[in-house]
Amino acid sequence: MKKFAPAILFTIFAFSMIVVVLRFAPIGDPHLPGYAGFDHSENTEKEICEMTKKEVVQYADSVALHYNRHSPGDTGALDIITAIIFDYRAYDTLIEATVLFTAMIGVLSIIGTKRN
Amino acid sequence: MITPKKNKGKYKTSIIVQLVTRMMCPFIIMFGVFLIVHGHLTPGGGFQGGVAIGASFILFALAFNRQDGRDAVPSFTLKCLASIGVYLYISIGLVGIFLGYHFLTNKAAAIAPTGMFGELLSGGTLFWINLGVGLTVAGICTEVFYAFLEEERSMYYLKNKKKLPYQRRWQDVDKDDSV
Repeated sequence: MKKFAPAILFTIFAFSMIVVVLRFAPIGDPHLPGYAGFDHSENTEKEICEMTKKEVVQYADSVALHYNRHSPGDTGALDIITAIIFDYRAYDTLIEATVLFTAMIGVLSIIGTKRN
Repeated sequence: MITPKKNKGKYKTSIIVQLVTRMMCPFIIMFGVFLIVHGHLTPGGGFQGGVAIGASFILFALAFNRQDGRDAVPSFTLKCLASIGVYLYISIGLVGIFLGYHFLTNKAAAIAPTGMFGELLSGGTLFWINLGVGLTVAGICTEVFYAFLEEERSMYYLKNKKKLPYQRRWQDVDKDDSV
């Protein structure tokens, strides 16, 4: 059984990943909702349950447009990239910093340096 | 200009490289600090500025000597920088909790400095988070560089049948001056 368990797990994960990849939208299509964006001002009063399926997809994918319009007001930073990685995704950056720190601890504990 | 002590080892580079390094190192550090402090105003930020500062330390060590670089920025200082950066980040996040908001809240908690839009002291926590990440990355870059630079000593230990660095205690490493 120990021999077949990795094979079974591998087939399950590979199958699910292949299914996901096959359902991808074509890369670089300019008509994708992520590129086209979604106007929040027209649909602010509309609930998500009242939207059509296409509108819901557009609503979910229009994060870039939201960042472009609202990041200076939300964070008070001129640079949108800094606003995204240090405010909207601050958890991500925190874990990045701790991962770097842990990597340093690992390297020093394995290789070891002199104190000075 | 930074004036290092007299070289202890045999490793030497040309005097042109040493002179240019002595002149350029403060400016590289200043540029890194500029990138960190202006992270919320111009392109750049904590990671890039930290790497620039770390690169200046590495340049200093490469142009002169490993021991000269160690004297300029000791290992203890670098580890302290990295730790202080991470703790600064986490403590800035905890301020939001103590004020009654979520972890790492920025605008709603009104954590200082919330100045005018586009000024240096604006953007709330972004300024301090940039500072913390910059310190962390600067310390880690240089420390890991030195760790990999001194890794070649392990061949010496293997040849002479001594214990490898990670098998020994710090007291033994400090006593051993042969390497």
